Amino acid sequence: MKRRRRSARRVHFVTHAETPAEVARDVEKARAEGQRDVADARADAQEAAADADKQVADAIADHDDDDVAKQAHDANEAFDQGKSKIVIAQAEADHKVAVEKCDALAGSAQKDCKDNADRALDQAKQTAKTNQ
Amino acid sequence: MTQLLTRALLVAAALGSTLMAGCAADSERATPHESATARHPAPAPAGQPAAAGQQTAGEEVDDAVVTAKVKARLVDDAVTKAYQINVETFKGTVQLSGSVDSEEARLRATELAKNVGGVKDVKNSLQVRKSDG
Repeated sequence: MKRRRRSARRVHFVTHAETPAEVARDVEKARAEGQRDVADARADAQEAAADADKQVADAIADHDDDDVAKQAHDANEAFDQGKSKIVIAQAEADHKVAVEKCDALAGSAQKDCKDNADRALDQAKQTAKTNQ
Repeated sequence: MTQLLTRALLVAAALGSTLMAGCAADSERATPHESATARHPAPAPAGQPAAAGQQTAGEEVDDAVVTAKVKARLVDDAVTKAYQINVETFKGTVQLSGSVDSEEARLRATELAKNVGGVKDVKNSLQVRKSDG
């Protein structure tokens, strides 16, 4: 009983390399998905920035200086958040592709490859947060 | 001989008046009012195309929004909030003027302005004036 459980655990950690054709197909799919996500993030950011700019323009038209300052501050935040979301979407898109490429490797090499991809994603997210 | 002298004097007088007229034209171009008008001509009426160097009403609104956002950025920043920095925008190009007391503040102002949505270029005319004591 004990022996069976141990072997089951071992099977769980064994990773096999995918064929080059499988890897190429999955990489292409991940790349297309990533590009869509980045395009969506960019469109959302542009929409949010345009809405925020309109609020500033309205405040200027109303000659309300305090509101202009507040809306301008909010517009800058919306712009920064949008930029950050685009950077993160791009990092996630790159991560998806990198992970799929790792499937060309087997065993610990595949695991190391995916760990590296995860670290790169975490670092990119952290940088985006810091720059915001 | 007298005729020749008279003709020479007439030519000299004509040249002199032409040069004076040129100087007058130059000094008129340099008046603050005219140079300001040249930089910020009145916007084209709605529905009419803008002439070269003229803003449309939409562009003028966009520039006012950019100016407000740059000012907000400068006020929100720990380095630049201490200074009175003038901000003007024309077709997305931001002009910063006034004075700061360090090169760091001058460069920071440019960096902040560049990172505002809608800014195409930044012209930094800020003067660095070290305060005594």
